[in-house]
Amino acid sequence: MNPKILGIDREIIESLKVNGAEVQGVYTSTIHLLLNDLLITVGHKVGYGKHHLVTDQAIDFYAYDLAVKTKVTYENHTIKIGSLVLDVLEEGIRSYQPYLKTYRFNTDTLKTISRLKNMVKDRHHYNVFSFPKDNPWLSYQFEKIDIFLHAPGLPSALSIMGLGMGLTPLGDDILTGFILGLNTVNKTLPWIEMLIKEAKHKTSRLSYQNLNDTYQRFYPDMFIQMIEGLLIENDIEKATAILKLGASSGAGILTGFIYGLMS
Amino acid sequence: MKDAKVLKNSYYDSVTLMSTTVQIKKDLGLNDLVMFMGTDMNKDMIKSVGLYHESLDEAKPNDLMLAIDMQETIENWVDEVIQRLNSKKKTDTVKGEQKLTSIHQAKDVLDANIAVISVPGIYAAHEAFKALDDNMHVMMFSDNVSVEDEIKLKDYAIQKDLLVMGPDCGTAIINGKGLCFANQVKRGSIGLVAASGTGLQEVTVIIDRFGGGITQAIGVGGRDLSEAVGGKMMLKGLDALDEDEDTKVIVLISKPPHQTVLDKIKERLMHVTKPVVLCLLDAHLDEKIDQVTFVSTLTDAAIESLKLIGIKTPDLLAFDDQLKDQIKKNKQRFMPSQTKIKGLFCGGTLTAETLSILRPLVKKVTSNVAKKTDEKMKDPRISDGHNLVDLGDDIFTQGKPHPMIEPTIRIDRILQEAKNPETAVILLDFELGLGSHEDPVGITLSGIEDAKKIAAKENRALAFVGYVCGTEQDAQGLRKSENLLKNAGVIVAKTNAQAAVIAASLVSEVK
Amino acid sequence: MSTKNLFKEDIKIINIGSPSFKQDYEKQEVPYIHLDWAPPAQGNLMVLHQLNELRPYQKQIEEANIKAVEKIKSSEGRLIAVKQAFDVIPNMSKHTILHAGPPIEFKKMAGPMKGAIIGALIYEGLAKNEKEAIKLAESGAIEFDSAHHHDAVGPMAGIISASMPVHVIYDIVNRNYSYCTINEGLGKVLRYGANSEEVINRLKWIEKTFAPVLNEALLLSGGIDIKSLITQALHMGDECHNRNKASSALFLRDIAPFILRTKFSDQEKKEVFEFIQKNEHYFLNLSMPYCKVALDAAKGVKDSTVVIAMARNGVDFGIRLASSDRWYKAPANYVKGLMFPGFTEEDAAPDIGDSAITETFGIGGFAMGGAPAIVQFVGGVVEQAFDYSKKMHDITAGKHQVFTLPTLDFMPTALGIDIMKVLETGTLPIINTGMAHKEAGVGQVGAGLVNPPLACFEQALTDFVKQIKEDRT
Repeated sequence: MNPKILGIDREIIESLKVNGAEVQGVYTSTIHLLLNDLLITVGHKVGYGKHHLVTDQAIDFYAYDLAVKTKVTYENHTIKIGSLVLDVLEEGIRSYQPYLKTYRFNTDTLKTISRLKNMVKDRHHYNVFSFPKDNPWLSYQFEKIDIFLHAPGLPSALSIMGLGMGLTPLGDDILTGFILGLNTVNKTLPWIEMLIKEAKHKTSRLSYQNLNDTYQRFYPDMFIQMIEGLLIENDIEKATAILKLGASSGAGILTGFIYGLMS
Repeated sequence: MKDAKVLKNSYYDSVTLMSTTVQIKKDLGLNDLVMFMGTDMNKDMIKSVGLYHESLDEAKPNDLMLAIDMQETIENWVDEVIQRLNSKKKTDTVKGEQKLTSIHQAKDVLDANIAVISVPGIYAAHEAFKALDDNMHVMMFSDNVSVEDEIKLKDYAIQKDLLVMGPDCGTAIINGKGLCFANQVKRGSIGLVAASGTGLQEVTVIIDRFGGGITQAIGVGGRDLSEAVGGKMMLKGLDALDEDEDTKVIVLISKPPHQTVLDKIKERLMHVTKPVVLCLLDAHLDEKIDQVTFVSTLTDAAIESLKLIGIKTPDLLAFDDQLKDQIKKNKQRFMPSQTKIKGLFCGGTLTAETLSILRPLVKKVTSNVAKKTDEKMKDPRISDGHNLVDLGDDIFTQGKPHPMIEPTIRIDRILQEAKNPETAVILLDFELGLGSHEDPVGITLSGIEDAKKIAAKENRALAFVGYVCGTEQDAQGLRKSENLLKNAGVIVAKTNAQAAVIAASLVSEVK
Repeated sequence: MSTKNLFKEDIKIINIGSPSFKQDYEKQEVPYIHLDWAPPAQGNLMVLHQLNELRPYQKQIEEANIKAVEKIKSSEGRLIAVKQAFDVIPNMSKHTILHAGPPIEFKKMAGPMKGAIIGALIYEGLAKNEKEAIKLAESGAIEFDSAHHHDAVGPMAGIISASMPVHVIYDIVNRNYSYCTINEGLGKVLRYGANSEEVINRLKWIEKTFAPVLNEALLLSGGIDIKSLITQALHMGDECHNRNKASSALFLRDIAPFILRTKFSDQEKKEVFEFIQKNEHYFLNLSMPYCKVALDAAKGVKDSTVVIAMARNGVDFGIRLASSDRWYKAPANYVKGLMFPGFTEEDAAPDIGDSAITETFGIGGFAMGGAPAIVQFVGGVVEQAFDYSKKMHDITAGKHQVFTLPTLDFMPTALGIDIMKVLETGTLPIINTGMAHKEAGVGQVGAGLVNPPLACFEQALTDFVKQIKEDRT
């Protein structure tokens, strides 16, 4: 039985049919495909999103010997990635739309945000609210991030773009969260558009894509659930799923988000 | 010492990078190591901490920058880093792989036909029963299994037409594949059943050496031919080979069995349909049975079986001129005190065969494998007269590896014998093949050298006689091993029996 | 496969023991599996010896176990009535008090159980207050016995006294009955040892208002098919021991129309409705007797090593086999999991209650894989829940047919805990349960996972070996 795809955007299927794609990276529990200029993340726990392919089971990609540049094709309701065949479930095909809902604050919201801030502080060792000051790397990163969060602007934003470890550096996660926060309260800042343009060559492809997607309001389901949980139900539990992302991505996004909301 | 490197288009997620960094720093004892994507901001950051290197200038946002501060220079640090980053990938396998903890579970995954059991003896029978339940043949390397269990297992197996090779069975070759300690022997038409590991090894390698090949070599375990077990598996193996179309000649090998068992074997041999070569070492068979050739050495077992398939071998016990010369030269160098043979063996049956051969050739030989009381060594650890010591015996292997796996164990004893003024000949066997050390000869050479030096200090010259039990197909290489010995001045025998005869010749005419 | 065939096939090996042989198989390109081996019975040679002693009887034992499992599976339990204990429970007198777990003296009982008994005696009018109740209980005038001995089960303290209404479950296939009290709800309730006026009043309301209404509703309905509700609930994220939300809702849905049709007043119907509606564990007191009636169908199957009861009295954990009436007891373990806010592990009583009958039957903890929500509650990750449900198949003689877990590809749950497999593998059944405060009357302090003590299974095996040998002489 082939693993099944539970979530995929219709546009991805159309694009695969025409252009095909290739493997761009193989990781612990996900792989990245390069589809024209887009990076598609495939995995079991990735969460539903416009550029995500969610599988019904965890797959040991290493077992399929998928090297970078392995061809990816779509045919007859299946996606073939080298020797790995994935069945596309009809009900998994979606048309992701931008999330246009915006929210207003009230006193309850403020309280909820405060709880969220505490949660990030308590549950993640690697966060801007409390980090080991004797680590020069973390100090460097968090000082710059701190400046941005308290004086957001193009120069300070650019000073943290691309800053940090991993495929999506912490600085970019903060910026992603920040933009998410702004969008949620329907606030626009004139320099964000410029920032996204700069991101194209100032940081990794995946990071740029995340920033751009967020700017365009294409959010992974996880973000939507977090926002709605927070702002409609005053519940921070959905945010815990985000906290688990990457090593520090989740914490970074939530931190940026909090500041974006409050700006 | 600081260094840096750019890995182009390298992608690793932060979880991998973080955990790998921590591990590598610890393993290699680094002052610092960082791995960041090649963004401008990361470059600034690396600069700020003083780890920057101009080779990082060319890094792009999709490249990975490595910057390192090593305590001592590690030339291939980049390879180390990459290897660990990538091996980290392999160990993080995904959940869903079930650990196979029982024979039954494993059988569902791989329709195996043989279970090889080497767990401690107290648990071995339990596992063997389970394997038989699941219709698998059993190879029981484990020893310390009770006689009662051995009998129950073999009865159950015979009922199901399955083999139980063991307990205490170290060697088998099934369909050309060696199990536990076995040599890579050419395939052919000789089938063997043996109650002895090294005995089986010896006969099969001689067959291979002289152009023959085997169908199956079935081990039955050291106790199969005892009175209690009654030779059950030996008889079953005999039946199986008698039926097997590929087997043209059958060889049965064992140390002397209990009389009742010998009778059973004789009874069965009266009805065999193919020629059988029967080798029981010291035991004697008075009557003649049709189709059965009786021999008393392993070498003869091989020779006779080869004869039966039409291969004539040279006289393997004879000495050619070169050998006669070697023997003469060695003898001339002995001091008057040097009159004794010290055989230091890894293989128990080879020890027994040597004892059997030396018995009529030299006065008073003792061994720790001897069955007769007057031939038993008082204390196997103490050298006294002509001795043949099986160093694989329990008294030597408590808490230590077997000499076939770790030949250096034998070196101490070699040196001990070198110190003894009565030592003239040191006789050594070397087993090649699966399970054995990767270079049993090579690793023993230093011991031989040192032994010679020790004796030389007191003006004594030692004669070393060596026998390599192996084939050219074995990883360790028969010719290579033999050459190493020859170059070290060791007299190399063609078979274990010949080695015994050579040793006897070296000490003959000496009172 | 015979020796002849062996010589014709490719050899494939299972390697048990030294990993050093692996490279030799690889060198020769022989397919193999290296077992992740550990000594059977966790290295206990005596147990291993006993297991080997049973080898000659292997066939009969297997057949007996298959028979036992089939009988359990065949059970079709219906909830047909709600009646007072005295009227329906066998050998029940006005002075009998039944409790959860194996038999135990009042003196030795745990706090919550004693508290519940005090409450029951006051409720019955046999004592006016705690002091009198204790005196009465210690006097010997009250007959204490295991609910299990009377075809009954009860969660936590599991106290049943004469006037208490009980659910009556009838198995239309095997024609036996089982009984269980009405679940009072959460918080300060009798089963956690509370015995205040509030508790007594509630018990009285259950007796005087709830029971009659529900009983008439059941009469009108012709009986509620409990098996069907469990099947559906397992597909809705319940495991019917620690999580009963869906099953309780389904029960209310089934019985509601009939409650409406009874001749009682609107107020009474309203109270009955709300009582069931507000209690998300209502169904526990239906799933438990269902499991009991099904497992009891296997009573008396000779030579079977299947466990048909697992129960705790707050001090001891006891198990019973299909083939014998004996209890095999050992001190109960403490539940490990998540504490409710304000409580620590020190506050918890040892494992207590008859509710492990659900696991004995193959639901509850065995169905954890289908109830991922429970995982947050007991402090684990979803993957572990799946693993548990799968692993239980290693220790059972069979599996269910209709009780399946959608999250695991509709894998059926494991059924028929086999003591031989438990001891051989060292894997103990997993129970998913609540923790009671060790003092009477405080209530639930947490929830988590617990295993029965291995000693119960060891005792059972020793006895079984003795029995089977005796039977043959």
